[in-house]
Amino acid sequence: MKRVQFSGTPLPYFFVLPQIAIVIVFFLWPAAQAVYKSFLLEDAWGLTSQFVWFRNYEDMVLDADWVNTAVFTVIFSMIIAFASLAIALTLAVRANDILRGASTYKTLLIWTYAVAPAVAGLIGNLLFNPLIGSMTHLLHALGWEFDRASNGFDAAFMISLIAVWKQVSVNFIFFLAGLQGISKSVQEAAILDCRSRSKRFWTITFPLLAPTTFFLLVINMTYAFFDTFGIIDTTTRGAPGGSTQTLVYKVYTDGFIGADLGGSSAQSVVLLLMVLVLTAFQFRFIERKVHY
Amino acid sequence: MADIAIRDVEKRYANGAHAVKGVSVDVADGELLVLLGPSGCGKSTLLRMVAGLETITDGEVAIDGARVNDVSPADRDIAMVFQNYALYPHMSVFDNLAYGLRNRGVTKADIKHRVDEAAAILGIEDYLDRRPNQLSGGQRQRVAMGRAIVREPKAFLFDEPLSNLDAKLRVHMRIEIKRLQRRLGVTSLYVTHDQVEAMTLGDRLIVLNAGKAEQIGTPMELYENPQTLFVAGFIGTPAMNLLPGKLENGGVTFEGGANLQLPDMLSGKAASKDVVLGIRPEHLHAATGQAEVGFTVTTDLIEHLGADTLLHGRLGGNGGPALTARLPGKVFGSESDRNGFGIVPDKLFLFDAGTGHRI
Repeated sequence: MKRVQFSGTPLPYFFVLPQIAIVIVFFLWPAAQAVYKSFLLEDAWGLTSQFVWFRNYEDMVLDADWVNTAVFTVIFSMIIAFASLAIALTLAVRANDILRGASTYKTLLIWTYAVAPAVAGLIGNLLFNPLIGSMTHLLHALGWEFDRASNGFDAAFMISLIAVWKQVSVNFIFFLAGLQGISKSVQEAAILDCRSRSKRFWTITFPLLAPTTFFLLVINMTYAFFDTFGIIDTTTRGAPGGSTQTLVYKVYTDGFIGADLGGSSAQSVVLLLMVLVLTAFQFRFIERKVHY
Repeated sequence: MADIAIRDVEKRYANGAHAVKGVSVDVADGELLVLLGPSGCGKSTLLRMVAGLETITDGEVAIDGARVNDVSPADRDIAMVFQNYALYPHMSVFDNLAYGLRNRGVTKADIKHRVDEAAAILGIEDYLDRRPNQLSGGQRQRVAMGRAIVREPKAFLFDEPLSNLDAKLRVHMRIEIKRLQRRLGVTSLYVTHDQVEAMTLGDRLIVLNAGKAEQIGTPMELYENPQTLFVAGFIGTPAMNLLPGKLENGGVTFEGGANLQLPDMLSGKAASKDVVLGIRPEHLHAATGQAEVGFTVTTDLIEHLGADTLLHGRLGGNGGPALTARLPGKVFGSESDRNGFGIVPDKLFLFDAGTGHRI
């Protein structure tokens, strides 16, 4: 990259001002507010507040509910990221091999991307409706006494399925683009060098897709952490008994429904730190093994 | 090591394109056969069918006497060198060479031995730890060759391996490939559109045009005895002068009215009136007045190449067909001094303009 040195002129700062303003107003300012609020204890009406140092954090960590939610969020995110990546990669590899009607398959696989998370949640609600839901019927017919209202695992299974279904399309697009970026003659050279199709995939195709996979891993973890909010809010709302509640959803319920702004702010600060650490970890340790 | 037999091989694609139309050729053990032709002539398709990267619509390919039409590419025991090298970008040079051996269950010690040996032959010992993107074009080309050599296959298949290199390196690598192939004695098929490359490398050439074999023979046979107009025009630089005309009274009348009296042995055999007279630029020489076919040419441009001189002009003055002559050494004088040329009669080629075949 070319580095340009401007000296003695404020002009460059003027040009980046709009971007800086947006970052300050919509990110830095609210984040600073959250950090500040996380040290306060407010009364239920928000009329008085008291500076309590780290008591909100203490309460949070000692709260078994929060710990359960944190554990659930991590497992939930890993399952969603892994499942949606694996399914999307399988579909992309298959779709890439098809010669006839390829664009039809691709369109069909891509268009769930256009569905908003909340709408996906509503569709899931209908499919998993205890009385008329076709998925409920199917699972019952398969011998699974599926009960999303009282069984935490079943409810978590439902939201995971919806979240994965919605995310597969995005991953599919990127994997397909990644696959098409692999030189055809490299693949042909591999065909001459290796008889086994699956071995070729793991030794040639998959390593060459590593940059795409790494990028998608970051995107998918973030998606599972934050963007599943809409799905959860339109389906389980964290029920039964908080067993499908993610950290983001708990921030919302504690803060806006439970009116505990201090505790909710403390949670969001911790969430922010977790995402920072996760991203830094991914870049530091996984990116090293990626061949660009 | 093995021979390769290609018998009546056809390639039709699903979209109806007929890329290869019944080609037959036998490649002897240790021979280097060049598939030569312009782009789109089906030469690469034919090579890829031998490799197994394209299905064979009809006909048969046999390697070492065994039909391989339905054998998977990895089991045909052939190695291919691709135009853009097709090295595995995420592997070191060593791993690039070793990959095919590992997949065939060769022992670790044997792999090391074979890779080191191939690296020594090609002079890439110092780069074994590097990634392909840290190598120059010529080095990548060597690695691609190395990947073929370590496999010790029955046959090498080259798909325009030199066309990504610059002109100087191309000449150098061409000689290296020839030496290497001689030394290893591996049966090889070599695809190129460059006729100089084809002439210098090939033990024999097969010239392809629109999916058909025009002629098969040694480089000198094709040069001295082209059987079709296409081969005549394709082999040799500068290209053979091809002068269309009408056969009348034992001579050829060209556009613009110029007439050339042909020796009886040529004119007697012609069945058609429309003919094309072929004259290699290097077979023309300054008129001597001896027993030969003489021409009057209006020369309008002289190009000095150093070792030779090219003279461009029109046969029989303005309006006549364009003609190029190549005279050895330096030519003195101006364009207007150079009007008379002669040629030994048996260096004239006469083709039927309708069928394109030699008369």
